[in-house]
Amino acid sequence: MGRFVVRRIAQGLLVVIGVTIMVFIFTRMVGDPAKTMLPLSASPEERAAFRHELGLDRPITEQFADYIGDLASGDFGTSLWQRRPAIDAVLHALPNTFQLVLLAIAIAVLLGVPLGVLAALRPGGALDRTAVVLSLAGLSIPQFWLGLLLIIAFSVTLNMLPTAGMGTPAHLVLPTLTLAFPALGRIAMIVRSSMIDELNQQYVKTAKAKGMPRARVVGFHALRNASIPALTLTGWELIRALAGYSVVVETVFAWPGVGFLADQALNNQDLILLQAIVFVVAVMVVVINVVIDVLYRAVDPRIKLV
Amino acid sequence: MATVKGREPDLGRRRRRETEHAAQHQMFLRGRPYEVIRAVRGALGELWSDKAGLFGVGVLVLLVLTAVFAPLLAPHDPAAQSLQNRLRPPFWSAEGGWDYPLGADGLGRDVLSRMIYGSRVSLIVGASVVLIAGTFGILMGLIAGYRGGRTDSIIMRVVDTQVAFPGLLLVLIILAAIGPSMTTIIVVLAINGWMVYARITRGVVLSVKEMPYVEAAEIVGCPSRRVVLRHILPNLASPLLTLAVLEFARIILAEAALSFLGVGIQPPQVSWGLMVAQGRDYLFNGWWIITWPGLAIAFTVLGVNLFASWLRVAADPQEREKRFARSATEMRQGSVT
Repeated sequence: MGRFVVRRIAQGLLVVIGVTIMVFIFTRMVGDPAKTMLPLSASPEERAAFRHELGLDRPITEQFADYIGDLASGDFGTSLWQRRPAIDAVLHALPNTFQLVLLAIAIAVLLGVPLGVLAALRPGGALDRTAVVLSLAGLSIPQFWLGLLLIIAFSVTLNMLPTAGMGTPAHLVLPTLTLAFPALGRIAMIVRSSMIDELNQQYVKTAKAKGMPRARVVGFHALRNASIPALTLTGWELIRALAGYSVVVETVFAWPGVGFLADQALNNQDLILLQAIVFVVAVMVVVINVVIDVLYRAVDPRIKLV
Repeated sequence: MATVKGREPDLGRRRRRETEHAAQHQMFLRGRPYEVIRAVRGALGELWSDKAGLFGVGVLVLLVLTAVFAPLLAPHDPAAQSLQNRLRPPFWSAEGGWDYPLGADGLGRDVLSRMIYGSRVSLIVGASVVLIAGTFGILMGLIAGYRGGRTDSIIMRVVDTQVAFPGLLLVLIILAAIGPSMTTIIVVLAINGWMVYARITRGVVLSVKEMPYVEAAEIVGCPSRRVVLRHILPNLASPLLTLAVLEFARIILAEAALSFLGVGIQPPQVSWGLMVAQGRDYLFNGWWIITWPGLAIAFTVLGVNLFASWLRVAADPQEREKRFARSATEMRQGSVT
């Protein structure tokens, strides 16, 4: 168990390093920070000074060594737009993103799993069709558009909920729903299909034959086995919400999390802040991956950790 | 009830008999042209019976036609502004009219014309990314699966590392560094999407590599390029085709999101995602500006997804056989009861 965790963390470190290298290649070698980060009106002298300040006039290998060294010692540079260490800005926004993402995924699981189970009990029934339609809608509707439609419906027309920002629980409703919607459909579908498989297994027949109550057969025995693919998907949804969807949803609702910060950094051409965001999120992604791998073992002892 | 399959123990044999029977029936005319005609007719017939798949194909055909004939279809120049038509509502409301069927945006540009031109971006970006990422990914997967050993582990390590970090963030920073344009979006999304093809290709190659017919080809002295391209690659047609279609839908959504965030397609070019972004300032007095392009994205993606799920069954001989057998048993059971 301990060795497994160590190994997984080592693999995760590789992911973080890979991401860092990719960011370096694209920001320093393919793109030119002096061009992207300075306004168009900057004079050649100002650009040269800027390059010198960031060390962009030195050989690329030296820059790379410095870059890795700085990251390793936790120095992410100073955000030009926020005028403070980039990492501070990210860590300040991180709890807000966690709040949003965790709530959204919790809603998706709490609604998606029962929906999937009920759909599996009666394939072709009304609930099954609802689940299929929901998942197809979640698959096709762009999240930024869904968010705006919800704003038009609940904030503009009905005047029930705030359009943007955070503070009261009411501010959480629309962003969470928007973020949860596609995940809910996907979770319901995967629970449905694995439940259908499990319900046809011999052990379910045995349990029924010996007179076990139906609720216990379905809810305990079958669901436990069906929850493994659902667990994989939930982890994946968590990662994708953190590393992608949150940018769009937080931007739509001006939710002051990491995604919104990334959008603002983008608008202010603040590459240093963006780098810090990508690095922190990469670390989060790795941590979630390790936690999920360990959880597998708790759910299904048959899985060997190697 | 929860019983779905395996009602009768000897169903397998009966199904097989029925499929063989059906296969014999179709074999009266031989020769390439007849085979092609029969295949096309068979596919069309199957499509007709699968209404969801039919809808998907309809959407795709509509998308391609709209994109190709955009200049003929669009009633206005997509960039033409007109101050007196600012925020004109769609045709059914009192202030609306047929000259601006779906309304006009905040600058008085025709929403319908912009949507028609926007379809071009979705199609071009989607198709190019699938083509580039697909070609590269398949190549990498073939090399990794066929060569094995060191090459395999290096390629798959790269794939795993990239797959482990999904989402838009990495794409965002790359686009911010290079500067957004249609070409950069295509390149960046392709860099971000080749891994899935490599994974699937490698999996199929590994399972096919040990087959007797591949070994036979190697023993009679086929060069490895021929073994890979002639004997292994055809096995990949069905899974890869479905994957490519699904990826096409994903890319359309990704392009829309990037354009919405302002790092995708730049004005004066038109894209559905960009249209939604431009309509954000008019949520209070112009709901139609964001509604139509959003619907266009949603229906396109839905159609492509439904097409993919039809294709998954139609392009895979084993799946087809299963489905044929199922419908045959259902028909028989229906006639008995």
